Amino acid sequence: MYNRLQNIVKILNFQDINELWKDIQLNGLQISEKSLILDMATNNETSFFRDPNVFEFFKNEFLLKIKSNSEKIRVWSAAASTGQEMYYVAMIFEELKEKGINKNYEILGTDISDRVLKQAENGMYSQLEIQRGLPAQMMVKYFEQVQTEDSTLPYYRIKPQLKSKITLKQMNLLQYWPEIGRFDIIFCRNFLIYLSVENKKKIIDRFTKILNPEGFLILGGAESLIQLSERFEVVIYKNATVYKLKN
Amino acid sequence: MPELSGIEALSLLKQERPDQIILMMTSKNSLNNIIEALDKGANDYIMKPFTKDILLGKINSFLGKDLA
Repeated sequence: MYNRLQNIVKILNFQDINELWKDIQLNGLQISEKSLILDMATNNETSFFRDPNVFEFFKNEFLLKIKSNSEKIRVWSAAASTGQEMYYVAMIFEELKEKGINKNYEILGTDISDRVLKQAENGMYSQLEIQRGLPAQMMVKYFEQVQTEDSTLPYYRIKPQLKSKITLKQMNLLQYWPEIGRFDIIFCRNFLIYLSVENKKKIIDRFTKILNPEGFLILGGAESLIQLSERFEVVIYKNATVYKLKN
Repeated sequence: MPELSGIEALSLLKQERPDQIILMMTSKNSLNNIIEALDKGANDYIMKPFTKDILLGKINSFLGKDLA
């Protein structure tokens, strides 16, 4: 936390934390200061384009080659958090549609937290959040700028066209799973890392039961299936490691 | 900036070096500003305030690297 506060001090051009604190006491907390502090104080790891090689695999290999003959693709963002990942997946489909590659798709986004799912449903992101991994070209194309009463900085709201193929559901991966159908690809990035080995194995085994034949599982860049499952083969695509369900 | 606006500097740079990658870094955050900059050839756009990870992420996206 101290290091994060030091970063804020530098960004706002104060000498040190004490000077920042004096400024806040004298002038109150400015909206930009508050936004930076809140953003840095929380474990805010969600980004639109984290692990870009994974999305390159998704678009150029999975959609354009492996699933080139598939008319419909079902995607599960299993730890959807505030929704950036699932919206980015939707953007990829929309970009392909503009190039004449029209795939019928459905995206399910789930998370244990109602709070983050609410933000995902709203599709509203702060200026800091929207810049985390999202190219400006995509931002102007798929988001509208929204001024709110409580902020001098604008928010960015996803355009309705991106929401139409997305369903959100509150779900605890370790408990009962409602009927959600089968999927061609599951994104479960940077979530299993927080679980015990036993729980990781449990969830991965459940994934194998709802992945379509030759379906893919995408984990976070620092995660792997070593000693967790024998049901997948490792596929390396450029710098991305992805997992294909074995026959 | 003195003498030139960021957009004017962008236009001049792009004329001189069309393949130069340019990231705009500015406090102007209206969508119109961003669209104008992208239309004039900016490769990406960073709005102030921003954090180090945002800046490095944008730079690395053009270097073909992943920050993680």
